[in-house]
Amino acid sequence: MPIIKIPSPLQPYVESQRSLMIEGSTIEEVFSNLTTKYPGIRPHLFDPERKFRSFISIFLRDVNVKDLKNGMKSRVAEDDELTVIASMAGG
Amino acid sequence: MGSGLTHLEYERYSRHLLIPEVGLKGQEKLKESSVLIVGTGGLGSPVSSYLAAAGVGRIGIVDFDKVELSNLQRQVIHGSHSIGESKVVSAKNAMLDINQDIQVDTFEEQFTSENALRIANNYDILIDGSDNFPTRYLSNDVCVLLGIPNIFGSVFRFDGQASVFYAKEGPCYRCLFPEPPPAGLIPSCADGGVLGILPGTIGTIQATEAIKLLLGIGSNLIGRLLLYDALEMTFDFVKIRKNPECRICGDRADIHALVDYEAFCGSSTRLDDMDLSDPHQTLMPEELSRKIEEKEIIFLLDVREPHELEISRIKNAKNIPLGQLPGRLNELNINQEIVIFCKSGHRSRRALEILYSNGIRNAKYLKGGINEWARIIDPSLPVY
Repeated sequence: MPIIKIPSPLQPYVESQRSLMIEGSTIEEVFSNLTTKYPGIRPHLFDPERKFRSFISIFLRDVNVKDLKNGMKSRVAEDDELTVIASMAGG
Repeated sequence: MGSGLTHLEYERYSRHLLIPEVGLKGQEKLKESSVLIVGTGGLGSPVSSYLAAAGVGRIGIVDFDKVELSNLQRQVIHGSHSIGESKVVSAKNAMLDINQDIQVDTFEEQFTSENALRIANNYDILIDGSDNFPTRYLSNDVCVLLGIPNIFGSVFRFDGQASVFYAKEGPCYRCLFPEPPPAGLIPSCADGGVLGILPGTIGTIQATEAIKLLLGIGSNLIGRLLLYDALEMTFDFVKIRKNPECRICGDRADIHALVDYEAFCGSSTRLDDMDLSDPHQTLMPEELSRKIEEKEIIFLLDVREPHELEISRIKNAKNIPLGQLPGRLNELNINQEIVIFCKSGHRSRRALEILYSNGIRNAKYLKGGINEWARIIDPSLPVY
């Protein structure tokens, strides 16, 4: 199952887990399953048009999903790692 | 020889002179270089210490804060004797104690659209060690407009990020994050906490990147974002690209001057249309105290994390951590007036937004949180 890494500011919405395994064969499917399981995280990841919010970036391995040819429809392998990055300002 | 170093400097920088990538030429280059550090807090502490020690000839530091006791857990350039003192004065003294041969310029003012270009104008590099979104976007835009690199670092709890944003050669901060989160959505370190050592690690990486850029050696973080997880002890890198749609460095950029960053960060993508400046949505500690004394029926809602309850509590408050609130609204008694509180007011403001967007309007939040309650009403409680 693909692994999703969740940044600290969003961990409260996934029962304080830093990473979790979520089923899905495309990035879209993985995130759909994630937000079904943890609805509290949905408004933090997506705007009402289901687009990722502008302070969130999603990476498949080390590539931004926006830079992938198939975007959210890109296929993910069983051992793939998705990383959610939230902008944070602490210093 | 034509060396720009004194005999004492040869001795001081001996360990640099021995490295072929630095050597005498490199050390002279550092002496002729200038770096502006925005913020002398957790990140600014290691950055200013190490750049001073490394012999960067002129270092500017911008900060308008004073040193507080709660800073000392991580802001290691300041000491107990500096509490109450201006941070830039405290940092300058420490930097000159490390190395009296450098010049330290202090700017004891808030870094704003009005002064940022003037302050940053004569530096080779800017290092962003600020602690809020408006200053981060301001630092980015200043660097893009002046054509200098912005060495970025940020921290939260156990997570650190670092990169070099340099629009001439790669993406800028806005390419990665076009807009900030709605105010209050992403907690600050003051609300969410930070491992004291974490900014030490990230700030040291920022200082390393600055030295390498000044010397023109090695590979740098342009086009890469470092993600450091101190809890799992992992360092990951992701690729970041220039965004052709970027409003300040993209092909059709429409930002050509500094903007109002408070407005930009305060008003963007708010989840609800409520007006947070409305005084009817806040409750002063004195007013809450009166309500409790007069046994008014209220529903006290504490949205802090469970471990914070060990520090301080208000009697009869129901604890639902902010992150769980949307799924636990049925536990609220909406027939009573709801008074929300947290540590200092930020999370409870966010909680109020959640209640409002779910149609629950008979609610207010305690201004200043339980810390203000402790200061004004119940001094037996600690302030944290």
